[in-house]
Amino acid sequence: MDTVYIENHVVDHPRTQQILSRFPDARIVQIQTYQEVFNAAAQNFRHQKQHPKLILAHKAGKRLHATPPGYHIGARRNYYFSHMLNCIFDCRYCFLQGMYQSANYVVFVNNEDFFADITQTAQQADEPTWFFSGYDCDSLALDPITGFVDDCLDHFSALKNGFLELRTKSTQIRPLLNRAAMSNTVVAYSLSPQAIVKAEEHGTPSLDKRLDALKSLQRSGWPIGLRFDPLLYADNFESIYAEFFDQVFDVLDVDQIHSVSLGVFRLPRDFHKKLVRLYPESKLLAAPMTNRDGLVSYHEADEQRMREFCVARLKRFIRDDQFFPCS
Amino acid sequence: MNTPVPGTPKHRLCVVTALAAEARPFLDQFQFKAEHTQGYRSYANDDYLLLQTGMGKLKAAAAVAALLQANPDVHGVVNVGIAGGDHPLGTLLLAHQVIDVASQSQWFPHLPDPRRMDHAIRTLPTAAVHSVDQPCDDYRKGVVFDMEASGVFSAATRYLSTSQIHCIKVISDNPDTSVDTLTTSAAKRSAHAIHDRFSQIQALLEHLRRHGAGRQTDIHTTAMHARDRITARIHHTHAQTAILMRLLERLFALGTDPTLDFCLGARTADEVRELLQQRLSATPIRYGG
Repeated sequence: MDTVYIENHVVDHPRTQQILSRFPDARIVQIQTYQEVFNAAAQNFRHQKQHPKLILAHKAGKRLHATPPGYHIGARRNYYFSHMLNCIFDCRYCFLQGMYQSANYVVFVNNEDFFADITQTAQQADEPTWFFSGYDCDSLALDPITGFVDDCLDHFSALKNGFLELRTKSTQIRPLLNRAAMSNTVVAYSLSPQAIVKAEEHGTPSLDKRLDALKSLQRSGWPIGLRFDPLLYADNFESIYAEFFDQVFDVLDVDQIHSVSLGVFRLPRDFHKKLVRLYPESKLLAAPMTNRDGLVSYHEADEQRMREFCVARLKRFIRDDQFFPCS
Repeated sequence: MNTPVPGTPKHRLCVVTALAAEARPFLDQFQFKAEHTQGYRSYANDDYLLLQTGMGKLKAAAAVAALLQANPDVHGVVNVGIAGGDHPLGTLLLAHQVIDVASQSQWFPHLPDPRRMDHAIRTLPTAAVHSVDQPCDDYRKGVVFDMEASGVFSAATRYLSTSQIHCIKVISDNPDTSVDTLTTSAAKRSAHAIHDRFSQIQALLEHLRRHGAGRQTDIHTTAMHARDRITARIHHTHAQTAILMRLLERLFALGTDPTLDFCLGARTADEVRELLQQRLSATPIRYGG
């Protein structure tokens, strides 16, 4: 990281100092609020992605958000939170590229405030509440720098009625393997066929490496989740996805999979428009798509065909109670 | 699909200076030719433009806007000049923030990656550049004062991103040698300050020229040229042109030959669109082998 922007009022925060100690040669720029850098106009997401900067900030205001309808794995109370904005990976379909002006990473250092909000929300009901991490970032990818996962797991280990999903494509699983598995934490991997990983998920670990990480986690007793989202259209869709599902379920212990979800590629219209502007050469964005109710996705017939094919294949391997299709 | 289109102009970097004295070292070192332009003074060679704006942010903004409008091949703008600050005289700095003191507007240039930079410029210090309307001697740590940077950013961000606009300053006055106590003229100080650090400035400019963000992607440029060829022959409305452009980008993204021979028979915009859509439908999208 060659440049670190730091909000004035977190300069002395111990976590700021801990993160800074990893970048002794970085240019340090003090700022008032992270928004003045992160939300500024006239930024080039694509260029910034080549050498993003780090912004250390305090997350004020609302830290937990209700998940969108259809985003759940069986419970009624579902929230997501983002201890970080943006992701070190560069997946061409990622909605963050459409949502944010900047490719810089924002890391919020006030973990303690997130945890206080999580406890308070979990205690509001006598039923399970799920907290999803990894919605606006990858939960594990920057963990060697942020150290967030250990703090988070410490907190959830003592939390009644609170359940955690860590969504990731990263193989940075050491903090998980170094401690006893927790029944209220699911490590959920986004998976795609290797041909799609190679073409569209730039900088991510290969499918084999993700499967190795999943196997290690399963061996250590961690509940795991599989997220086949987004499914991408191709003329050879059926052959690549059939082979892919065979590969995944061949190496994992299916009975020990906590949950499986699936969703077809879709983006809000404005985000899609921005992605096309950023990456007009993208094969993914050259596929035939349509706008339905403000969401851009494949034509309904294509989408249905893809979904039905995948659901049928998945049901050869998993139980109904493991499956949560994204609506 | 990254084949350059014949006749595509090269990307150039524009160096913006306020004073003739600041421009002088560039004129001495680069093989520039004066350009015939109205309202601003500029010089050009194959890789660079040099723009001399006159003093103050308004003149800087007006000249930069006019130049960028007239030169779509410019893919980066770098303001080079003198500044006052709490640093030793002659210190060369890169701006990490530019603030227009009067309006409090601010910009954060996306600084180049030092790991890719030449050793001589990798550790250049950075500073916040405060653009003021009158010369200023309120020297403070981490802040330098100039009179043009905010004008350059205000105009250039209408055309380019903050990855493509930078500001390099050489300290010409500080608390020990403030503007009031200096006996040499601003022009002489500018020329000396920039001349003395010219090799580093040149290395930095070359880095920004080579590694800066392009104004367009190759596919977009290829599609623009194809679009222009088609619309020169067949009338398209504004809306039809936008649809045409995106169809072309999609086709080129899937590897279609940019000569578009299959379109030659079309006589109307609708026929062109029909042919392009047919070609798109027939072009497979495949992942892997």
